[in-house]
Amino acid sequence: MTRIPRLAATALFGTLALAGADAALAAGPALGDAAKSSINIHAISMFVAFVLLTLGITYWAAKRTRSAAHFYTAGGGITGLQNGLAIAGDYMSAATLLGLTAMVYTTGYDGYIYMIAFFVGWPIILFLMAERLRNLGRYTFADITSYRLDQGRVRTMAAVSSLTVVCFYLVAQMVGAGQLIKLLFGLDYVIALFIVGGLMMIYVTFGGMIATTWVQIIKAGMLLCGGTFAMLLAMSHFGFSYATVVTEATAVHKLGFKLFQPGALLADPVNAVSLGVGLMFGTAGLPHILMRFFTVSDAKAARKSVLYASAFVGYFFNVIFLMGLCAIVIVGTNPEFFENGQVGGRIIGGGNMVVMHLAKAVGGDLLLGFLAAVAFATILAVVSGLALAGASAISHDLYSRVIMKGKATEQTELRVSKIASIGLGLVAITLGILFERMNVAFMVGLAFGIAASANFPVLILSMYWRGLTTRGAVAGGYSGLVCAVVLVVLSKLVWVQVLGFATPIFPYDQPALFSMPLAFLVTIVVSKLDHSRAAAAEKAAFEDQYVRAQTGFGAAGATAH
Amino acid sequence: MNEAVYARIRANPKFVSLVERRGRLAWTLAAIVFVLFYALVLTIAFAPGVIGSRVAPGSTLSVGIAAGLFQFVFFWILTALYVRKANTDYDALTAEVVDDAVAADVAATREAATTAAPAAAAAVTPPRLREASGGARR
Repeated sequence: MTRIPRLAATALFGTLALAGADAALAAGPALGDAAKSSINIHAISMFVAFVLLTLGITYWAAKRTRSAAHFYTAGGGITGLQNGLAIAGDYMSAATLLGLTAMVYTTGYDGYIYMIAFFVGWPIILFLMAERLRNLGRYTFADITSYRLDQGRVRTMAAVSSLTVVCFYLVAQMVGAGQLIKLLFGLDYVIALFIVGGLMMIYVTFGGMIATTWVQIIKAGMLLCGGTFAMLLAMSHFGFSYATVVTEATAVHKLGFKLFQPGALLADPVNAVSLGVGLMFGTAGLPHILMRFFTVSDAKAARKSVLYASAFVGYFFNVIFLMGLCAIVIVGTNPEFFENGQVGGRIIGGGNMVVMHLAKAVGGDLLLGFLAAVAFATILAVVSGLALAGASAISHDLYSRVIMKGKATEQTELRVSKIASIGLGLVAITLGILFERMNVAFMVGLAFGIAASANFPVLILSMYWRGLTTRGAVAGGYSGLVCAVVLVVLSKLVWVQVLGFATPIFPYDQPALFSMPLAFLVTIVVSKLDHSRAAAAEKAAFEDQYVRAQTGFGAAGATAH
Repeated sequence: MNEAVYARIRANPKFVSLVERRGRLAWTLAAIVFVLFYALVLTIAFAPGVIGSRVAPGSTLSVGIAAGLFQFVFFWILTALYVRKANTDYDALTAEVVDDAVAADVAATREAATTAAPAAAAAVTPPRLREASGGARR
């Protein structure tokens, strides 16, 4: 029991882990000791209902998944609203619900800073990328980076960095999923991993993007409704008045009104800015998020997707903030939720359980069961999106374009992507078991760092800069990848917490502030120095690409269902 | 066919003006987001006391929460503004530019076909049509 608090900010809950850990981590040194709780009937029955519903949808989707376009992008037939919900479902992981509530509960304003940083990537994606992504891309973001460059080398690089991002993110989700399910449902860790991995394989292999999208939409709906309901019930204890919540919360919290002051976490300016850069641009380089832009019919719907997604995400972050504040009073003063009934001591189940305790306090076992089912559904939706993005990188980029040089038939490409989905599921389960007792916090930091350093710079330059050449893209992409990995290894998260050295060589938690500019610099310098004939042709090809990016003329259209 | 249409679009002054206007709006909005967000981050790093203070004496609202809530709302309004402008005005202009170019290209092709020998026209036309119908991809 003693080590659970670490769970949130580290293992699964993605992005929080980035720099996040300190607040939630103070309590324990390692993962893996999450105690099995008694079996929760409400939670399990609601989760079973969710699984049956999504399996029904998968069956329906499987009949519609006839072509590669259906498998990768749902045939481009998703509407802006549906895609907006799915993006929100893809983006808000269990970290959002559990980890951020816990962070507001313990450190107040720090939690709010994270939420703002997670949010601001969206307007930037809309203004600078959404339209061009849709107009240039088809199945993977490598379609865009390799548009006028050497297919083999650029796609290989994009696939390598995509798979790296996906694998690290998957492992972090899987380890967290196992721990969380053990806690919420009382199931064994390994059984939990097989359930998550197995369901993920079924959704992705049979239902492709259509099923994955609907799993994400349903989950987003559940999350938004459940969270809103819990927030309203909690706020009713305070007469729906923000002033009352704050007055009571600051009266009982040990920080008092300092609850609203930034904590030590972001005291270092370099760390604070690096975190901002990592979260903002990491989001814009995550393959499973980018892929969602290819599921809509045109640029218009792509823009609408961001409008809806950012509304849902922004709204929900503020719901979470209110829940965290209410929990300070409702959970934080109730002996029922503390070990041995000692208020101010250790919270039963660990810091991440704050929102679950809040649900129980204001809505009884039924709401607790519902939120627990939502948390499980959330993990399923996120890992499915990740697996689909990874499978596309393998089948569309590596197999079809690099190995077969575009000569593979659609049927074999589809078969490869299904085999890849199953392979990724097995890899995720295996790694989840191997890493059960390890601090996997660094993996999420690494995933965001790589996304911001290897994917984002090449992607944005390919869309905006005529002078980009194959040599520049490949050199820049790989140097961003290597630099991000090395800096994370040398940072506290790995160098000290995993490898056991006394002091970190790289003093910051998030590498993006250094690795992302390096990737830009290398890409630009190498491109400038590249005077080959191929480079000249690549630069010349920018003109037509530019017109297509701006107008959508010649873009991959929606296919009939 | 695509290449010819791209060249026509590029030569259209309406296209140049479309790209300029939409680009200016997008970069202005992005700059606003960058500046406000990093200003908040730097204030958090360098003046945490300001962030934690109350907006007015006795108020329960702190400066940091007010600033954060403002960013959520304001940035979302900016996205709504951009989507509205791009999905109506700019998309209408885009459609116009593309339609003009395609129409001009079709007319030019037909003209070339009628002036050239019938045999040559037959040799030229089918591949172009094929390309046009399957031309969703490069």
